[in-house]
Amino acid sequence: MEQKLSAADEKIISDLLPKKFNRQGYVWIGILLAICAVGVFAYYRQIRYGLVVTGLRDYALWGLYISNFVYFVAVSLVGSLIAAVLRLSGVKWATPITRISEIIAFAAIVFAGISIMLDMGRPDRFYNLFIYGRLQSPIIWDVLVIVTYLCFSFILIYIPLLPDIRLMLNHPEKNPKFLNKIYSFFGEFWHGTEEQKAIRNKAVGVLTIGIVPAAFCIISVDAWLFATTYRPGWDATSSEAYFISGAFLVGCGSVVVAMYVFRKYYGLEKYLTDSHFDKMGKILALLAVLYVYFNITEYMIPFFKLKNSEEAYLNSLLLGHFAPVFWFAILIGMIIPICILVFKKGRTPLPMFITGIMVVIGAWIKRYLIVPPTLLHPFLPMHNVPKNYTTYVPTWEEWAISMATIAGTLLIVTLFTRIFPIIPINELIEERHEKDNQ
Amino acid sequence: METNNTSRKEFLTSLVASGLALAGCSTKKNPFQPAGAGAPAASGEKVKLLSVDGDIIEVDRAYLKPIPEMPFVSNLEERKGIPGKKFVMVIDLARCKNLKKCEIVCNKMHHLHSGVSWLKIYPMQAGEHTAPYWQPTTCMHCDHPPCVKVCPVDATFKRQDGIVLIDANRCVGCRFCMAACPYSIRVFNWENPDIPEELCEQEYSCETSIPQKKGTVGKCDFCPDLIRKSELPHCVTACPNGTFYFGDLNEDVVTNGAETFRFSDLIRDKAGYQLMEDLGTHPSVYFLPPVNRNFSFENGLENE
Amino acid sequence: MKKIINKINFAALLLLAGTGSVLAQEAKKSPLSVSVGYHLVNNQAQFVVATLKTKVERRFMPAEDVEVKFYLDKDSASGGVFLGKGKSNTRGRVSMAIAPTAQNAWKASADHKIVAMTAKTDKYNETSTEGSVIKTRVTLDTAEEKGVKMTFEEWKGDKWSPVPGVEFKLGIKRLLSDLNISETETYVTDSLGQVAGTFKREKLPGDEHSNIVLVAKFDDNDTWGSLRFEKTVPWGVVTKKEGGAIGRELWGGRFHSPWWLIAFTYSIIIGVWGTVFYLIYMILKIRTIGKSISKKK
Repeated sequence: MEQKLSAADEKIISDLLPKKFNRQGYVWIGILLAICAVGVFAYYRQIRYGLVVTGLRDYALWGLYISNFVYFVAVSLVGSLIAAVLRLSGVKWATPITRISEIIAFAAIVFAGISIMLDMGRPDRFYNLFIYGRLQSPIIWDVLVIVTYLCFSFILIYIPLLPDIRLMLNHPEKNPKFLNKIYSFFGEFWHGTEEQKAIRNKAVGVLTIGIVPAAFCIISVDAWLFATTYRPGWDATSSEAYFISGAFLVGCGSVVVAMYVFRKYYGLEKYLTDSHFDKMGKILALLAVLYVYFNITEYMIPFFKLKNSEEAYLNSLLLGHFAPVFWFAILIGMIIPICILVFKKGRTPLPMFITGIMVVIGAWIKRYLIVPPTLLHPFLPMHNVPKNYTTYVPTWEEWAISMATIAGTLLIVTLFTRIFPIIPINELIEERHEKDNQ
Repeated sequence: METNNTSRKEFLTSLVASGLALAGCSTKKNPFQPAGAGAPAASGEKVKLLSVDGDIIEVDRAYLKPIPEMPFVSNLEERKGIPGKKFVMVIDLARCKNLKKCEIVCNKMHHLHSGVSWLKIYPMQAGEHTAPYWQPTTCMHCDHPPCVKVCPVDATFKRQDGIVLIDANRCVGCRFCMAACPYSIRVFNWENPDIPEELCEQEYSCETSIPQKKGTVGKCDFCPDLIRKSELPHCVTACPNGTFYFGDLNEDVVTNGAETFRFSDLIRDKAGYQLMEDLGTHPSVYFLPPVNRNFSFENGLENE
Repeated sequence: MKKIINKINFAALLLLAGTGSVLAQEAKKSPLSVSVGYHLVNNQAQFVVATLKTKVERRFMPAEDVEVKFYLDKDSASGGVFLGKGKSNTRGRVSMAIAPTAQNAWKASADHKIVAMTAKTDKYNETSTEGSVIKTRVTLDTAEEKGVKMTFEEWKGDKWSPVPGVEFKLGIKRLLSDLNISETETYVTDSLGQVAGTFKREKLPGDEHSNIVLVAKFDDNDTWGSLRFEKTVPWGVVTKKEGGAIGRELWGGRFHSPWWLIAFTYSIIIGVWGTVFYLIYMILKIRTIGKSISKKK
């Protein structure tokens, strides 16, 4: 770094440089790896015997995997929310949480892509999507936007990371050898000259603007996977807005959870302050209210009309078979969080952590409720089919594979914190200097 | 000539035989020449052919005539369809008593996995006080097929003769087409279909839809392999009550094997309709309302 | 064209008279019933057809996958001609063409006997079925506008004589079946062996020259077997064909995406990936600058 570093800066750097995992950390990674291993075994069974090992059948033809896919896509939207929307609106306090949200977004989008592959009956023909790809199909749009968004997410992490990699390279003796190789490959060339900084700032500007339409594309295409069909509950025109608001909510919830965990584990109380939680709490509450609003339009207006084709679906969702799960999701995903977050005490770290977990779980259930209930209410009656065709109960293989994808996401985030600083050090220092200058 | 399940070699030889048969008495210019007037004059040019016995025989070129049946339909031709045709089906709901012969024959002839049916007979009742009826439901072979719209790899496609088929060699098993189909007629091969080994080894054909493959989608195909042989689909011939009519819209005629009607007359006189036409799928299958029924609804309950 | 229509056409048709049937039975083996028939379709193709049935639980079912050998005049002095062999299909049918190699034996006589034989198998006993053939002819007169006159005659000793009381169908050939020319289902030949019908199918689609194919036929007559005679007349209309190649539609193939979709998608792809490449370009620029600084040091 060309500018002089004060003692306070050095303190920040030594606080925030990645640290070796302690025992807890290794146990955590061990658990995640074990879940992944079980998932891989379950997937081996799925490849060998076919999708028959899942609870999916001709009516409930999509299930956990697609719910997971929708969930991951929703979570991935948070990268653009925190990094782009807040940055564009000139919010400065969010700097310490940008990288947390970016890496969550990146990990989620990776596993969104994987989830789609897990659902395929013939993953061995995945290449067909590229050699026979058909522009009319929303699946191809999906492939396009996932690849695009993956690139964007990678660049969004990478460019702000450049100065921090230089910091890591300044103390090579502290790092394992192979990490130094990674650092020098990715960041050797960064010297923090004015010219480089100018280009970098410009790139960040382009990126924050460019990622917003990309993010809206991915969530819209996600919504269109359903909205392009005739099925009751999917056949809607405003589903994109519903999906976007839900995605912002769950993304925000997951960032809050991650903030709390990192703060605890790495002792980052000075950087992820109570004020951060308070502000995130306000955003979360706002998003929850917005999501409640979209839920009302999504369910209440069709229920008001109660079209013939939608009657059975809505009845089972709101009053029948799926009602307990549905209302549970509404309660813990929106209503209770709002009730907690309106109080100032509710926006302190621990209640926020609990709220975040509730939001994340509620959002997952909501994604699940998008898929099977609709498919189990087709236009023509379910007649003369084996009994297990008329319901959907995920098998252990499905759960194992789904859990493995979630564990995989967490693993990416965890390993990232070992390799790179989870809080952008350079930006923090620069902001401090700016403040001092003023 | 019409043997099923024989090897391709046998099939070809039998075709050669039919070619020879046609050669026996044909002059292109005047097809109404009395029989017994003999074979056309030999041209002197000999062609080698494989006889039914497997012997190589020499035949005069003048005896040969192009045959309407194609010996082998390539994937490209299967995707194009039969030129100049537009196939339609008419299902007379007044005649169905849920005998399920159609379903049984269809399952057998397409070697479907046990428990899987492409053709289903639904007990339908529009409202609480309206009369129930049996509705045999095949693929609608929509002219604006929602399933084809969403297929990412062209594995399911619409042909120029109106038929929607599946290429199981290309299907990636995403099941989006199943979700898109409002008629829920598509089925998935969740596991390896239990079919004879020699069938499994056979090269898949989009027109026969045999053999079904694990991890791909299957559905009613309107039996284009039979149509190419000028035969009716299996379900049509299997129904003892003549519920199904099949034909070419461009010829304006449909038949159930025993009876033949003008399509336009039948639809006009019996007020034919399409299933969920309000969705804009433009189905190729038409239904005749269950009026003046041959059987009561309860008759069909025995077969449930 | 008109000339052909006004010309009276003759057709001599050879028909199978009486179909032979053999029912073989043995304790363990299923009974196999074979009937053999001769078909001559419009002077174009001569076929021998054997239909095989077996009894399963008191019901006749098609006997599938049974090999049948066909012979022409097997018991004659010359020993007859082997026509060929084939396996019965799922409908229990085997059809065999009378190949040009058999033409000499065929022409040698007016009457023929056809023999269909099946060999002994695990499921069935051997069978041998005989059918004989009589010469007949059909005359179709379509000189009158939309009127059809048909005469049916058989070869009796030395001359053609009319056959009365035979039920005919008059129809129009379609791809999978024949449509009756009017509401009348069937026509029975009078003492002159004649029937007359009127073509009443207004505006029936024909080919591109408005031609349709008239058909006079009967199927599975007890005495005469099956007969089919066709003649082309210009009584149809040219209609616009439905179906056809699918253009740039959402349900078209992958090379037939609608233009609006292509424009829409590609403009987004170009815009977004343009940004991505611009960003990569900037990273590379930072890299080059950095490398040059490293070198200086």
